[in-house]
Amino acid sequence: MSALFLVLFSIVAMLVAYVTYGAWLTKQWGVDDRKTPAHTRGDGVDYVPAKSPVLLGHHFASIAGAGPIVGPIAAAIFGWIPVLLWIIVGSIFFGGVQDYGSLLASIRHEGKSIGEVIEVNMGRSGKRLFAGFAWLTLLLVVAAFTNIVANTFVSVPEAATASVLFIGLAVVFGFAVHRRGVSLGIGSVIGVILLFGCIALGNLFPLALSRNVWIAILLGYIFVASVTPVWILLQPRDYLNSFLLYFMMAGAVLGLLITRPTIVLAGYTGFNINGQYLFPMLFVLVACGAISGFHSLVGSGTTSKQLDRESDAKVVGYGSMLIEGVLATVAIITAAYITQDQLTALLANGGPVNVFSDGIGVFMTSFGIPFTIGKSFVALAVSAFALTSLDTATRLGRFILQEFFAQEGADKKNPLTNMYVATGITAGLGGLLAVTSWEAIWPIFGSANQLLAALSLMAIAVWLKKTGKNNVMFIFPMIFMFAVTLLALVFLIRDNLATGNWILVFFPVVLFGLSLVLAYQGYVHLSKKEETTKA
Amino acid sequence: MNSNRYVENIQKKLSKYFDIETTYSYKNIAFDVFAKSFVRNEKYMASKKVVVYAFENNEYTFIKSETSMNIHSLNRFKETLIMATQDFVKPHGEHMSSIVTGVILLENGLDEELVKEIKKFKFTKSFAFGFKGWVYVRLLVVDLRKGLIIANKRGGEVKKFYEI
Repeated sequence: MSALFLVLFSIVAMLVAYVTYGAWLTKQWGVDDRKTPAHTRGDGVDYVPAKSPVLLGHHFASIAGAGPIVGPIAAAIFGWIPVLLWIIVGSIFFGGVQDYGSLLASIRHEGKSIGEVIEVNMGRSGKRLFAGFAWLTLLLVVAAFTNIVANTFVSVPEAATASVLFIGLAVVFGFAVHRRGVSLGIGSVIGVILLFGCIALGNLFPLALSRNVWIAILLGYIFVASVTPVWILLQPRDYLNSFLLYFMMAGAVLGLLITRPTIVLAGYTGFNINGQYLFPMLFVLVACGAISGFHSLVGSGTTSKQLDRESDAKVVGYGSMLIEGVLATVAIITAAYITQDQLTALLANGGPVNVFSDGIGVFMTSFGIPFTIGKSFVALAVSAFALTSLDTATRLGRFILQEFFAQEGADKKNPLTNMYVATGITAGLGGLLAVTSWEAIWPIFGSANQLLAALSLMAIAVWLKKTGKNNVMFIFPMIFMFAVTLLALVFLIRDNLATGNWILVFFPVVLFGLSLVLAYQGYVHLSKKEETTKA
Repeated sequence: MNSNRYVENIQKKLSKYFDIETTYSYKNIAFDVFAKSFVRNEKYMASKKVVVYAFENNEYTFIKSETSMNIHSLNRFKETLIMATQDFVKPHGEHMSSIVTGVILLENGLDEELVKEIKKFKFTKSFAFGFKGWVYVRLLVVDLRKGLIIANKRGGEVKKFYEI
């Protein structure tokens, strides 16, 4: 089967869903053109109306990270058909509904975030519980992305050299622009040229180190990145990263159109693959491309405060999720145009990023880019984004820890509020988790993320019930996501108990307990008979 | 152009980005305009309450008109600007840069000696090796009679902005 056909099929399915199901949701929820918080609470800072195409771009860029690439490829062990079906069904009936619903719920609550709504219901102890949940999830992000980057560097040592040089380039770029007064335009042109110079040098001098050495280096890097001034490293690196993304997306689309690869991978390989069951693992592995709890935080966090008209919520909230579904389809194609043996070999030697960079590298040869250059370029781009996720998670983890232990008016400061101590603990524990393989970490991270999705679905369903609106579209996805999370955690606990991996027992046990408490709360609210309030 | 008209024009231009005070006094010197700008950049995650990192850039501009200038009055002005770097700039973890800009508007022009002094003036200071940011001083003298601007190296960055 032609891969191009699959992409087209995915696009058509999403378009039909947008026109039909999207319209039905709009009608059921009574989306109208009342004034949004961007106008009623406009402050020129947080609450600023933005045109829908601009906001669509902002929202999409925020929700699409490495997730829609890594998840579908990791899940390809079950065959491409179940993955593709979950991407399409999940995007339309699960993720899209969650994203659209959380955006609308936030607008009707003066732009407040879903987290805040949950926080209000759970009180002060709930707030600390939520902070604990967020910190544990961030440790998992550190562990998962350290693994992803380390594996990529081992399998594509050319990208490792390029990445190290790229970090150095960002520092020089930042210094030249901020301290030496080089104009941003000239700096950017030279920066992009040197960026390709880094890739060329990487191909000449690949840096081959072991996985554990890379993990140690990466942990050292995130510690430094978390405590040094941002204009030296993070800010210029974030800026240069955006060019990598543009070039990679353009190369992937063009290459796919010219190459028109054929699907070779088996459509379905079985329900039980080496002890991993399709249910629930497929639904935990493929998060961002189908449904992801993180999206609800973005939608209700910044997007809702910038929505110009309530009717824009459909294109921004629902539309973005459907576009991400198409991106996830492209990712699965990079795994599906090769044979099972090739996929297994690529996965074993560098994980999903290796599969993705290999696939896009091949596609890009169609317009004259040498394979090794193309592959190391894509690996550099994806690892650059994974590195951003890494240092972001470390910084956020550090802030949460500092805030958690800060006591107002205390004579003696708690040492855990110290920047270096809090960073050291976050990076250290994340690193301890990282030395296990990423296959063990990703499902726990996925479970935490999907637990957040189940929570968001529950919060929106409760709100719709209270306002007398139809919430039926949330009930099945919510029950399904709770079932997926709980079952996945049971399997993780069982597997890690058997191997005596206590760290990986601890995390699922905590998440499992949290899931049960919250599921019970949701049940109580949804089954309660009460008067409805005006939305 | 006379200094009143020039000040009026510059005030209009500055008002887009600066908070402006007129008839401002600092270290017993009366200034025609004192303008300050405070810019904070943030990278946030999902919600603007979740700030991943932030940095601040500040600028303080002192504008004073004089009929004439000699080496003593120039030195005094330079010293005042350096003192302002100590009084106004409070370095902290999120402080990236501060700029103190001093502009003298001269009705009667100035001699070559002073031009050299202005051009070679330089003041830069880093806090905690730059980890808590840095500050530098821009010095510009606007010769209203000839319509010329003489600036030190850093002042050159904004020469165009102060053109008559």
